[in-house]
Amino acid sequence: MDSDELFTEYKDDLVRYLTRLTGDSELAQDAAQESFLRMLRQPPARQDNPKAWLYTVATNIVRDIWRKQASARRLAVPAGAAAMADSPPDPHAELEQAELCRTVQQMLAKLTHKERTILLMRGEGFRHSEIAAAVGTTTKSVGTMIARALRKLASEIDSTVEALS
Amino acid sequence: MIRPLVNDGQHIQDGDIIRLLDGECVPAEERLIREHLRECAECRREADELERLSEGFGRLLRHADAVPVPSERGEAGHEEAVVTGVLTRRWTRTRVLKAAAVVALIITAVGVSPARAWFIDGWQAIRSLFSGEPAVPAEPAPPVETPNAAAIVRFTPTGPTFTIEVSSAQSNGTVSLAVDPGPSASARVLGGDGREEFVVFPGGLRIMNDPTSSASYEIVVPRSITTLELTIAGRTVLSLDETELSGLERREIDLAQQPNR
Repeated sequence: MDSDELFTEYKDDLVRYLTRLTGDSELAQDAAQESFLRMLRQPPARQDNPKAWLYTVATNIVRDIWRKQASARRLAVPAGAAAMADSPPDPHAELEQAELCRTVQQMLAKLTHKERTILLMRGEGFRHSEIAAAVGTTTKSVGTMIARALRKLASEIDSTVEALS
Repeated sequence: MIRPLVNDGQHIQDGDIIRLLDGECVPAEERLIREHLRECAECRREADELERLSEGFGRLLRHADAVPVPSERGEAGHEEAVVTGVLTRRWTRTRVLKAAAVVALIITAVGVSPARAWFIDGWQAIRSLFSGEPAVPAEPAPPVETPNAAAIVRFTPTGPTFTIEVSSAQSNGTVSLAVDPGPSASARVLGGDGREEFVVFPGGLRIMNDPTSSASYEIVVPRSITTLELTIAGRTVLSLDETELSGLERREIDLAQQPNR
Protein backbone atom coordinates (compact mmCIF):
# COMPACT_ATOMS: atom_id res chain seq x y z
CA MET A 1 0.00 0.00 0.00
CA ASP A 2 1.58 3.27 -1.02
CA SER A 3 1.29 6.57 0.76
CA ASP A 4 -1.68 7.68 -1.30
CA GLU A 5 -3.61 4.57 -0.46
CA LEU A 6 -2.66 4.87 3.18
CA PHE A 7 -3.85 8.43 3.24
CA THR A 8 -7.12 7.58 1.56
CA GLU A 9 -7.68 4.53 3.69
CA TYR A 10 -6.84 5.88 7.10
CA LYS A 11 -7.12 9.64 7.23
CA ASP A 12 -10.73 9.77 8.37
CA ASP A 13 -10.27 7.00 10.90
CA LEU A 14 -7.10 8.57 12.23
CA VAL A 15 -8.68 11.99 12.65
CA ARG A 16 -11.70 10.43 14.35
CA TYR A 17 -9.45 8.50 16.71
CA LEU A 18 -7.40 11.58 17.49
CA THR A 19 -10.50 13.68 17.99
CA ARG A 20 -11.73 11.16 20.50
CA LEU A 21 -8.32 11.01 22.10
CA THR A 22 -7.84 14.74 22.41
CA GLY A 23 -11.35 16.13 22.42
CA ASP A 24 -9.95 18.78 20.12
CA SER A 25 -10.70 18.47 16.42
CA GLU A 26 -8.06 21.01 15.41
CA LEU A 27 -5.36 19.32 17.42
CA ALA A 28 -6.51 16.03 15.95
CA GLN A 29 -6.07 17.33 12.44
CA ASP A 30 -2.70 18.80 13.27
CA ALA A 31 -1.51 15.52 14.74
CA ALA A 32 -2.87 13.54 11.81
CA GLN A 33 -1.18 15.93 9.42
CA GLU A 34 2.12 15.54 11.20
CA SER A 35 1.75 11.76 11.18
CA PHE A 36 1.28 11.63 7.43
CA LEU A 37 4.14 14.05 6.98
CA ARG A 38 6.42 11.79 8.98
CA MET A 39 5.27 8.90 6.87
CA LEU A 40 6.49 10.77 3.81
CA ARG A 41 9.71 11.98 5.37
CA GLN A 42 10.66 8.81 7.15
CA PRO A 43 8.53 5.89 6.01
CA PRO A 44 8.25 3.07 8.52
CA ALA A 45 11.08 0.62 8.29
CA ARG A 46 8.63 -2.24 8.42
CA GLN A 47 5.77 -1.99 5.99
CA ASP A 48 3.76 -4.89 7.31
CA ASN A 49 1.50 -2.81 9.52
CA PRO A 50 1.46 0.80 8.39
CA LYS A 51 -1.86 1.48 10.11
CA ALA A 52 -0.45 0.58 13.50
CA TRP A 53 2.62 2.66 12.69
CA LEU A 54 0.48 5.68 11.82
CA TYR A 55 -1.61 5.42 14.96
CA THR A 56 1.46 4.96 17.11
CA VAL A 57 3.14 8.00 15.61
CA ALA A 58 -0.04 10.04 15.96
CA THR A 59 -0.51 8.99 19.55
CA ASN A 60 3.06 9.90 20.36
CA ILE A 61 2.66 13.26 18.68
CA VAL A 62 -0.36 14.02 20.85
CA ARG A 63 1.48 12.86 23.94
CA ASP A 64 4.45 15.08 23.07
CA ILE A 65 2.23 18.08 22.48
CA TRP A 66 0.53 17.53 25.79
CA ARG A 67 3.81 17.15 27.56
CA LYS A 68 4.96 20.44 26.15
CA GLN A 69 1.75 22.10 27.12
CA ALA A 70 1.35 20.22 30.37
CA SER A 71 1.00 23.29 32.47
CA ALA A 72 -1.69 24.76 30.33
CA ARG A 73 -3.56 22.06 28.51
CA ARG A 74 -6.19 19.86 29.94
CA LEU A 75 -8.26 17.51 27.92
CA ALA A 76 -10.44 19.83 25.99
CA VAL A 77 -14.12 19.38 26.36
CA PRO A 78 -16.02 20.71 23.40
CA ALA A 79 -17.94 23.76 24.38
CA GLY A 80 -20.91 22.63 22.40
CA ALA A 81 -22.06 21.23 19.16
CA ALA A 82 -19.84 23.54 17.21
CA ALA A 83 -16.77 21.84 18.55
CA MET A 84 -17.62 18.52 17.03
CA ALA A 85 -20.22 19.05 14.38
CA ASP A 86 -21.73 21.29 11.85
CA SER A 87 -25.44 21.85 11.92
CA PRO A 88 -27.35 18.60 11.81
CA PRO A 89 -30.70 19.10 10.24
CA ASP A 90 -32.65 18.50 13.41
CA PRO A 91 -32.03 21.04 16.19
CA HIS A 92 -33.20 18.62 18.84
CA ALA A 93 -30.89 15.94 17.53
CA GLU A 94 -28.13 18.51 17.43
CA LEU A 95 -28.54 19.26 21.09
CA GLU A 96 -28.63 15.61 22.02
CA GLN A 97 -25.61 14.94 19.89
CA ALA A 98 -23.68 17.78 21.44
CA GLU A 99 -24.56 16.60 24.90
CA LEU A 100 -23.46 13.08 24.11
CA CYS A 101 -20.17 14.29 22.65
CA ARG A 102 -19.58 16.33 25.76
CA THR A 103 -20.43 13.41 28.02
CA VAL A 104 -18.10 11.06 26.18
CA GLN A 105 -15.29 13.59 26.28
CA GLN A 106 -15.80 14.17 29.98
CA MET A 107 -15.78 10.45 30.48
CA LEU A 108 -12.55 10.02 28.56
CA ALA A 109 -11.00 12.88 30.48
CA LYS A 110 -11.17 10.77 33.62
CA LEU A 111 -8.70 8.32 32.18
CA THR A 112 -4.97 8.63 31.96
CA HIS A 113 -3.52 9.25 28.53
CA LYS A 114 -2.39 5.65 28.36
CA GLU A 115 -5.75 4.27 29.39
CA ARG A 116 -7.53 6.51 26.94
CA THR A 117 -5.19 5.51 24.14
CA ILE A 118 -5.60 1.84 24.87
CA LEU A 119 -9.36 2.02 25.03
CA LEU A 120 -9.67 4.07 21.85
CA MET A 121 -7.20 1.99 19.88
CA ARG A 122 -9.16 -1.05 20.94
CA GLY A 123 -12.23 0.69 19.58
CA GLU A 124 -10.38 1.09 16.29
CA GLY A 125 -9.94 -2.67 16.13
CA PHE A 126 -6.25 -2.95 16.92
CA ARG A 127 -4.84 -6.14 18.37
CA HIS A 128 -3.46 -6.07 21.86
CA SER A 129 0.07 -6.49 20.57
CA GLU A 130 -0.35 -3.41 18.37
CA ILE A 131 -1.80 -1.40 21.22
CA ALA A 132 1.02 -2.52 23.47
CA ALA A 133 3.59 -1.37 20.95
CA ALA A 134 1.87 1.99 20.59
CA VAL A 135 1.77 2.81 24.27
CA GLY A 136 4.97 1.07 25.32
CA THR A 137 3.67 -1.71 27.48
CA THR A 138 3.42 -5.47 27.34
CA THR A 139 0.75 -7.27 25.39
CA LYS A 140 -0.21 -9.08 28.55
CA SER A 141 -1.02 -5.89 30.41
CA VAL A 142 -3.26 -4.42 27.70
CA GLY A 143 -6.25 -6.52 28.68
CA THR A 144 -5.76 -5.59 32.31
CA MET A 145 -5.61 -1.89 31.47
CA ILE A 146 -8.70 -2.10 29.30
CA ALA A 147 -10.61 -3.72 32.12
CA ARG A 148 -9.35 -1.15 34.59
CA ALA A 149 -10.35 1.72 32.34
CA LEU A 150 -13.81 0.26 31.73
CA ARG A 151 -14.38 -0.24 35.43
CA LYS A 152 -13.23 3.29 36.11
CA LEU A 153 -15.95 4.52 33.77
CA ALA A 154 -18.55 1.96 34.76
CA SER A 155 -21.13 4.25 36.30
CA GLU A 156 -20.87 6.81 33.49
CA ILE A 157 -21.10 4.16 30.79
CA ASP A 158 -24.14 2.58 32.38
CA SER A 159 -25.99 5.82 32.99
CA THR A 160 -25.23 7.25 29.55
CA VAL A 161 -26.17 4.08 27.74
CA GLU A 162 -29.37 3.95 29.72
CA ALA A 163 -30.14 7.52 28.74
CA LEU A 164 -29.62 6.58 25.10
CA SER A 165 -32.09 3.72 25.30
CA MET B 1 2.02 -20.45 26.18
CA ILE B 2 -1.02 -20.51 28.41
CA ARG B 3 -0.91 -18.03 31.24
CA PRO B 4 -2.22 -18.86 34.67
CA LEU B 5 -5.90 -18.14 34.58
CA VAL B 6 -6.42 -17.27 38.16
CA ASN B 7 -5.47 -14.49 40.52
CA ASP B 8 -5.72 -16.22 43.79
CA GLY B 9 -6.04 -19.78 42.78
CA GLN B 10 -9.72 -19.46 42.07
CA HIS B 11 -10.76 -16.63 39.80
CA ILE B 12 -10.04 -15.35 36.34
CA GLN B 13 -8.22 -12.07 35.99
CA ASP B 14 -10.02 -9.13 34.40
CA GLY B 15 -7.37 -8.95 31.74
CA ASP B 16 -8.07 -12.52 30.72
CA ILE B 17 -11.75 -11.76 30.37
CA ILE B 18 -10.93 -8.85 28.07
CA ARG B 19 -8.56 -11.01 26.09
CA LEU B 20 -11.34 -13.55 25.72
CA LEU B 21 -13.79 -10.88 24.58
CA ASP B 22 -11.25 -9.53 22.11
CA GLY B 23 -10.38 -12.89 20.65
CA GLU B 24 -6.83 -12.63 21.91
CA CYS B 25 -6.68 -16.06 23.52
CA VAL B 26 -5.24 -19.13 21.90
CA PRO B 27 -7.80 -21.93 21.60
CA ALA B 28 -6.54 -23.92 24.58
CA GLU B 29 -6.55 -20.83 26.75
CA GLU B 30 -10.02 -19.87 25.61
CA ARG B 31 -11.27 -23.32 26.42
CA LEU B 32 -9.89 -23.13 29.96
CA ILE B 33 -11.41 -19.72 30.56
CA ARG B 34 -14.80 -20.77 29.26
CA GLU B 35 -14.74 -23.89 31.39
CA HIS B 36 -14.00 -21.79 34.42
CA LEU B 37 -16.78 -19.36 33.59
CA ARG B 38 -19.26 -22.18 33.36
CA GLU B 39 -18.33 -23.29 36.83
CA CYS B 40 -17.77 -19.99 38.60
CA ALA B 41 -20.75 -17.68 39.04
CA GLU B 42 -18.59 -14.92 40.46
CA CYS B 43 -16.28 -14.85 37.44
CA ARG B 44 -19.28 -15.10 35.17
CA ARG B 45 -20.72 -11.96 36.78
CA GLU B 46 -17.43 -10.18 36.34
CA ALA B 47 -17.22 -11.30 32.73
CA ASP B 48 -20.79 -10.21 32.07
CA GLU B 49 -20.09 -6.83 33.60
CA LEU B 50 -16.96 -6.28 31.54
CA GLU B 51 -18.76 -7.38 28.41
CA ARG B 52 -21.63 -4.99 29.18
CA LEU B 53 -19.24 -2.11 29.82
CA SER B 54 -17.25 -2.92 26.73
CA GLU B 55 -20.32 -2.98 24.52
CA GLY B 56 -21.72 0.12 26.18
CA PHE B 57 -18.54 2.06 25.68
CA GLY B 58 -18.38 1.03 22.04
CA ARG B 59 -21.98 2.08 21.59
CA LEU B 60 -21.30 5.48 23.11
CA LEU B 61 -18.36 6.04 20.81
CA ARG B 62 -20.39 5.10 17.77
CA HIS B 63 -23.21 7.42 18.77
CA ALA B 64 -20.80 10.24 19.49
CA ASP B 65 -19.34 9.67 16.04
CA ALA B 66 -22.70 10.10 14.39
CA VAL B 67 -21.56 13.62 13.70
CA PRO B 68 -19.10 13.93 10.84
CA VAL B 69 -15.45 13.86 11.58
CA PRO B 70 -13.77 17.19 10.90
CA SER B 71 -12.66 16.15 7.46
CA GLU B 72 -16.20 15.56 6.36
CA ARG B 73 -17.47 18.93 7.37
CA GLY B 74 -18.92 21.26 4.86
CA GLU B 75 -19.71 18.65 2.27
CA ALA B 76 -23.40 19.20 2.10
CA GLY B 77 -24.50 21.41 -0.69
CA HIS B 78 -21.07 21.82 -2.20
CA GLU B 79 -19.84 20.71 -5.53
CA GLU B 80 -17.53 17.85 -6.14
CA ALA B 81 -13.94 18.88 -5.73
CA VAL B 82 -12.13 19.67 -8.90
CA VAL B 83 -9.00 17.92 -7.75
CA THR B 84 -8.49 14.82 -9.74
CA GLY B 85 -7.73 11.51 -8.13
CA VAL B 86 -9.32 9.94 -5.14
CA LEU B 87 -6.99 11.31 -2.54
CA THR B 88 -8.37 14.71 -2.04
CA ARG B 89 -11.81 14.32 -3.39
CA ARG B 90 -13.62 13.82 -0.14
CA TRP B 91 -11.50 16.29 1.73
CA THR B 92 -11.85 19.16 -0.61
CA ARG B 93 -15.53 19.79 -0.77
CA THR B 94 -15.30 22.94 1.22
CA ARG B 95 -16.53 26.15 -0.18
CA VAL B 96 -13.24 27.91 -0.52
CA LEU B 97 -10.85 25.10 -1.21
CA LYS B 98 -11.60 23.36 -4.44
CA ALA B 99 -8.41 23.80 -6.37
CA ALA B 100 -5.66 21.28 -6.81
CA ALA B 101 -3.81 22.56 -3.82
CA VAL B 102 -4.34 25.05 -1.15
CA VAL B 103 -5.60 28.38 -2.26
CA ALA B 104 -3.70 30.03 0.48
CA LEU B 105 -5.02 33.42 -0.32
CA ILE B 106 -8.49 32.27 0.48
CA ILE B 107 -7.26 30.36 3.49
CA THR B 108 -5.92 33.56 4.89
CA ALA B 109 -9.20 35.25 4.25
CA VAL B 110 -11.17 32.67 6.23
CA GLY B 111 -8.64 32.40 8.99
CA VAL B 112 -7.78 28.73 8.60
CA SER B 113 -4.30 27.60 9.45
CA PRO B 114 -2.52 27.28 6.10
CA ALA B 115 -0.71 24.21 7.30
CA ARG B 116 -3.89 22.51 8.38
CA ALA B 117 -5.76 23.44 5.26
CA TRP B 118 -2.80 22.40 3.25
CA PHE B 119 -3.00 19.00 4.84
CA ILE B 120 -6.64 18.70 4.17
CA ASP B 121 -6.54 19.83 0.62
CA GLY B 122 -3.07 19.56 -0.68
CA TRP B 123 -2.06 16.03 0.03
CA GLN B 124 -1.53 15.14 -3.55
CA ALA B 125 0.60 18.16 -4.23
CA ILE B 126 2.76 17.70 -1.18
CA ARG B 127 3.09 13.98 -1.70
CA SER B 128 4.42 14.62 -5.16
CA LEU B 129 7.14 16.80 -3.70
CA PHE B 130 8.35 13.99 -1.49
CA SER B 131 7.99 11.26 -4.04
CA GLY B 132 9.42 13.16 -6.96
CA GLU B 133 6.46 12.15 -9.05
CA PRO B 134 4.49 14.87 -10.77
CA ALA B 135 1.27 15.79 -9.13
CA VAL B 136 -1.83 14.77 -10.95
CA PRO B 137 -2.74 17.79 -13.03
CA ALA B 138 -5.63 19.65 -11.62
CA GLU B 139 -8.55 20.88 -13.57
CA PRO B 140 -8.71 24.63 -13.82
CA ALA B 141 -9.54 26.21 -10.52
CA PRO B 142 -12.84 27.98 -10.32
CA PRO B 143 -12.67 31.74 -10.29
CA VAL B 144 -12.35 33.18 -6.84
CA GLU B 145 -15.04 35.47 -5.66
CA THR B 146 -12.87 38.40 -4.70
CA PRO B 147 -9.91 40.06 -6.33
CA ASN B 148 -6.73 38.64 -4.93
CA ALA B 149 -4.37 41.50 -5.62
CA ALA B 150 -4.34 42.61 -2.02
CA ALA B 151 -4.54 39.16 -0.47
CA ILE B 152 -1.57 37.81 1.36
CA VAL B 153 -0.67 34.48 2.87
CA ARG B 154 1.59 34.14 5.89
CA PHE B 155 3.12 30.98 7.20
CA THR B 156 6.13 29.75 9.16
CA PRO B 157 8.64 27.57 7.32
CA THR B 158 9.76 24.54 9.26
CA GLY B 159 13.39 24.30 8.23
CA PRO B 160 16.41 26.30 7.11
CA THR B 161 15.90 25.48 3.45
CA PHE B 162 13.20 27.24 1.51
CA THR B 163 12.08 26.36 -1.98
CA ILE B 164 9.89 28.46 -4.19
CA GLU B 165 8.43 26.69 -7.16
CA VAL B 166 6.68 28.65 -9.84
CA SER B 167 4.77 26.15 -11.90
CA SER B 168 4.84 28.09 -15.18
CA ALA B 169 6.88 30.79 -16.79
CA GLN B 170 4.93 33.88 -17.77
CA SER B 171 5.31 36.42 -20.53
CA ASN B 172 4.97 39.20 -17.97
CA GLY B 173 5.50 39.61 -14.26
CA THR B 174 8.23 39.16 -11.71
CA VAL B 175 9.05 37.26 -8.58
CA SER B 176 10.25 39.66 -5.93
CA LEU B 177 12.24 38.26 -3.01
CA ALA B 178 12.98 39.91 0.31
CA VAL B 179 14.19 38.82 3.74
CA ASP B 180 12.48 39.77 6.95
CA PRO B 181 13.85 39.47 10.50
CA GLY B 182 10.62 37.92 11.75
CA PRO B 183 9.89 34.18 11.89
CA SER B 184 7.19 34.18 9.24
CA ALA B 185 7.20 34.01 5.51
CA SER B 186 4.62 35.74 3.38
CA ALA B 187 3.57 35.77 -0.21
CA ARG B 188 1.15 37.83 -2.22
CA VAL B 189 -0.01 38.23 -5.75
CA LEU B 190 -0.03 41.57 -7.49
CA GLY B 191 -1.98 42.12 -10.65
CA GLY B 192 -3.36 38.63 -10.78
CA ASP B 193 -6.59 37.61 -12.36
CA GLY B 194 -7.70 35.23 -9.63
CA ARG B 195 -6.26 32.07 -11.14
CA GLU B 196 -2.96 32.23 -9.29
CA GLU B 197 -2.72 30.05 -6.22
CA PHE B 198 -0.23 29.42 -3.47
CA VAL B 199 0.49 26.00 -2.07
CA VAL B 200 2.24 26.17 1.26
CA PHE B 201 4.32 23.19 2.17
CA PRO B 202 6.70 22.66 5.09
CA GLY B 203 9.83 23.73 3.27
CA GLY B 204 8.52 26.39 1.00
CA LEU B 205 5.93 27.57 -1.40
CA ARG B 206 4.53 26.60 -4.74
CA ILE B 207 3.00 29.20 -6.99
CA MET B 208 0.39 27.64 -9.21
CA ASN B 209 0.15 30.08 -12.07
CA ASP B 210 -0.89 30.16 -15.65
CA PRO B 211 1.54 30.94 -18.53
CA THR B 212 -0.85 33.60 -19.73
CA SER B 213 -0.93 35.36 -16.38
CA SER B 214 0.72 38.72 -15.98
CA ALA B 215 0.80 38.64 -12.21
CA SER B 216 3.81 39.39 -10.06
CA TYR B 217 4.59 37.68 -6.79
CA GLU B 218 6.12 39.24 -3.70
CA ILE B 219 7.69 36.74 -1.36
CA VAL B 220 9.28 37.50 1.96
CA VAL B 221 11.24 34.81 3.77
CA PRO B 222 12.44 34.89 7.37
CA ARG B 223 16.05 35.58 8.27
CA SER B 224 16.29 32.05 9.69
CA ILE B 225 16.32 30.65 6.14
CA THR B 226 19.85 29.71 5.14
CA THR B 227 19.22 28.31 1.69
CA LEU B 228 16.72 29.49 -0.86
CA GLU B 229 16.02 28.05 -4.25
CA LEU B 230 13.68 29.35 -6.89
CA THR B 231 12.51 27.18 -9.73
CA ILE B 232 10.34 28.24 -12.61
CA ALA B 233 8.65 25.59 -14.70
CA GLY B 234 10.92 23.01 -13.13
CA ARG B 235 14.11 24.87 -13.89
CA THR B 236 16.27 26.28 -11.12
CA VAL B 237 16.79 29.95 -11.81
CA LEU B 238 18.10 31.14 -8.48
CA SER B 239 19.92 29.59 -5.58
CA LEU B 240 21.01 31.65 -2.61
CA ASP B 241 23.13 30.55 0.32
CA GLU B 242 23.21 31.97 3.81
CA THR B 243 25.70 34.72 2.99
CA GLU B 244 23.77 35.85 -0.05
CA LEU B 245 20.52 35.79 1.84
CA SER B 246 21.92 37.81 4.72
CA GLY B 247 22.84 40.58 2.30
CA LEU B 248 19.64 40.38 0.35
CA GLU B 249 17.45 43.43 0.42
CA ARG B 250 15.26 42.80 -2.57
CA ARG B 251 15.72 40.73 -5.66
CA GLU B 252 13.49 40.64 -8.66
CA ILE B 253 13.43 37.83 -11.13
CA ASP B 254 11.72 38.46 -14.42
CA LEU B 255 9.36 35.65 -15.27
CA ALA B 256 9.45 36.66 -18.93
CA GLN B 257 13.10 35.70 -19.19
CA GLN B 258 12.48 32.11 -18.28
CA PRO B 259 12.35 29.40 -20.92
CA ASN B 260 9.97 26.50 -21.08
CA ARG B 261 7.00 28.61 -21.84
